[in-house]
Amino acid sequence: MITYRLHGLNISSEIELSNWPLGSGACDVFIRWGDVSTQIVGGRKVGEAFVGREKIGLLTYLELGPISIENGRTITVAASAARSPEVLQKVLSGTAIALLMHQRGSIVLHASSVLFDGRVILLMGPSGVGKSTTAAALVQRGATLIADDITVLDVDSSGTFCAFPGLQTLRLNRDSVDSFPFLVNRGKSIDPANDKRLFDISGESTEPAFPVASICYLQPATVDTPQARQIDGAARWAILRRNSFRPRMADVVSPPRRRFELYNSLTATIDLREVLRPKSRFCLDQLCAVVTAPVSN
Amino acid sequence: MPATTFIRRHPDAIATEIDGEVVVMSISSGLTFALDRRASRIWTMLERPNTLDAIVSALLKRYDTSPSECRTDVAAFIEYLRAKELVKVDGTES
Repeated sequence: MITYRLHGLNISSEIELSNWPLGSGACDVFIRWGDVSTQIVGGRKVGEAFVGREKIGLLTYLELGPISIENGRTITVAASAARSPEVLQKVLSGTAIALLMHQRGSIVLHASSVLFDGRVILLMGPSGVGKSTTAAALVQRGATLIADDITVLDVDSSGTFCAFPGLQTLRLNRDSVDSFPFLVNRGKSIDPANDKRLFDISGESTEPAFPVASICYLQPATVDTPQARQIDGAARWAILRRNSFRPRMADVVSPPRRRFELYNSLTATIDLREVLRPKSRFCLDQLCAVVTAPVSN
Repeated sequence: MPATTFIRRHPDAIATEIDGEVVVMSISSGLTFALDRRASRIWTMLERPNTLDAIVSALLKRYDTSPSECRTDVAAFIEYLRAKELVKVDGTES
């Protein structure tokens, strides 16, 4: 058994997960090999998962066989998955852990996030908009990576929203890698079909969670330079829900009243802005200035 | 829908208001709906059980639209809310 620390949880695993940060202490979640029933009474198909109201989710992939996620506490992987360790790692780091966090009632956003001046900036946006690239640019300018692709939020006892450290890896396209000399020798190739590379940029941070300053929704637009505008009204809620990780899964599996209350207080308190960037280029210097403005001011 | 039929919020619907716009969730389905300003106004008018007639006449005072068009739109919206289990449509006020 190895203990990892991810998204604020201690996770004890029979499966070795090479990019996951190590942890210690009493475990909140268990990942194990085992027999997985492919029957969920009353369940329904949502995306690639089959989820039931009884806090049971089932993922089935041809290469892996079934994986069950139960009660926000246990992930059971069929032995057949041992044949494809890299695919298994990708699924456990992505959809499986997101489904588990949804079952626990956390807010799970499809966002990259960095720590800047002691507070967290989240970067959401459509696929390919440059969430990871912008995160890399902020890291190059002194920020610390909190999480790439999936950022988990929860509220602390004082009512402040906090982000929990996720995987300390960045997934970048080959053409954006050239902009970041500091990444040389820290990456390995993954997903050769998409020409993506994965960079381990783990820092020294030991804090369990960090307060969130701002959430930016990145959008390509017909503008000359990057610019920000506040998002108002019910659109605030809609944009957060739409950019949760696998929103339709969250609709079914996360405890509805708790989710409603969390989103309610998040939309009421958070600095949520749309950041428009020119379609044809990143303008990383200006983009970083716009994104960090709420923390710098 | 008869003009005098009462429409009421579903007991499983919970709602919140952000800058005058309403977000409503059905606890039974887990689905949330962000309402625009006009839809939010109708939701607000359902704070107590209300009739289609009363809602339409209140909206006509505020928006420049024909009575028949307004009635058709509101009835369709109420039917949508009913299908999503956000309101109940029945015959009595209490």
